[in-house]
Amino acid sequence: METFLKAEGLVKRYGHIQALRGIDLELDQGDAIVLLGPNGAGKSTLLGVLAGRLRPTEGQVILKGEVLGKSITARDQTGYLAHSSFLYSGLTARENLLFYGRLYGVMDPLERSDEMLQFMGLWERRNDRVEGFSRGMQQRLSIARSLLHDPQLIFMDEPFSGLDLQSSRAFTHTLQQLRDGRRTLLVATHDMGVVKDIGTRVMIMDRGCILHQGSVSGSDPGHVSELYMEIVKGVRT
Amino acid sequence: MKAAFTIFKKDLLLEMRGKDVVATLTVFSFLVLTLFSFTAGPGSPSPREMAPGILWITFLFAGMLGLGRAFDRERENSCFTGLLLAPCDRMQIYWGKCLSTLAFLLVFQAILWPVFGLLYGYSPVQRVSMAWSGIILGDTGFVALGVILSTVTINARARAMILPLLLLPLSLPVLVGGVRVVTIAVEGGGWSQALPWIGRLAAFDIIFLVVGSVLFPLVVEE
Repeated sequence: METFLKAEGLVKRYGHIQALRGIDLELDQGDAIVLLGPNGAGKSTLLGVLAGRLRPTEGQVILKGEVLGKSITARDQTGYLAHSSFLYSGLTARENLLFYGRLYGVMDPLERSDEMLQFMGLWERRNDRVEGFSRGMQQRLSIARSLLHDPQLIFMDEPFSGLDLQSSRAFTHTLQQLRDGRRTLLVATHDMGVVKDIGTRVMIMDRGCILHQGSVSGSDPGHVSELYMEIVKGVRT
Repeated sequence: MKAAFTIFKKDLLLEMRGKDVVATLTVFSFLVLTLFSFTAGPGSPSPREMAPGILWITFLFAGMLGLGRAFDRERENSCFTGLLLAPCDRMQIYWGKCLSTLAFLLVFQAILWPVFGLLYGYSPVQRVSMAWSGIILGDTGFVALGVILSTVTINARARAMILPLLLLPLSLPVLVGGVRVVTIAVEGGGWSQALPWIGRLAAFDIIFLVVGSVLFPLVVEE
């Protein structure tokens, strides 16, 4: 498989706090990596840096040979779902997607927005303002926003937060559909079940370092949980 | 410029929905102008003599209020980060925000202009093109500065205090130029008197816009 994204010596400091401590990683095309770690491990910071939202203090991220951050085309290939929805509450669901579609240079933003609204089950609410949406609906719309420009590399930070059981299952199905061998997924979560449902690899990080990574296809979530607890406990004691 | 116009159109749509920026600015400015019009006392200069200065001070304070409101929308749900992740030159985000803020200012100023004439005894149609040349150029410089400083302070805890502290002193050239052009216009002066000030305002605009465009991509890096 082709190396799609490469991170070299990523360090991120916020004043005296070191959020990332020299992270090296490679993501291959078609990978679906589940990033696990306790709160404050540096998962969100790592995703922010890889997605080009944050500038690393040291090191660099190379996406298909181009340094991320400096390259506009590299940003075109990444989709980012963060804790915040990036949605304008005064606009309707459709207007939000249309806006981002135009901003991302999507060929036919209206058609694509409607397609995504149907895909995420929000078609009936397309003309309603986001301010009236539940957290779960906002999350679904935010997922639609992050996939709108059909990115090849998708970063998701706690994508299941705020989703009810039904939405969570539907979203897991969506993620499975996204695993088409063309796209690369990196999902930060606390949910061990995600590893089995969508992951091809798992990464465990704590205190700004990646402590473990490996293939997990078909792994029992219980085994991953044990491994996770063992590794994190080892670091914290 | 496609992304800049997309942001501009989005801001206009949000404003048409809420009308909160233009309505707030208009009401605030109307109150300030009205209050000042009653301040004449024995021995003090009449409000009419000070009118262009009062008008521009009102514009500046209302402008700051408008900048705050316009950027509040970007703070909500971290929408500003959403803009920064877009595959466009980040300078275009700056231009888009400048365009929409300028549009809001001009709309509320157009509403206020006849009120100003009425309260301070000036004809709103006298030398209107001259006065508005000064207003448009003054606004452009103010917005160019205001957008970059609002961006710098977008996540600051004491933003409401820091923004005026930075913006007002730097807006002094705009204030002086704007007041002079409006004074010449409302007193029926000629273009030959106004043109040097209009030229200075245009020069400040170019400087502020160039500096803002260059600095914006740097200041948004986290």
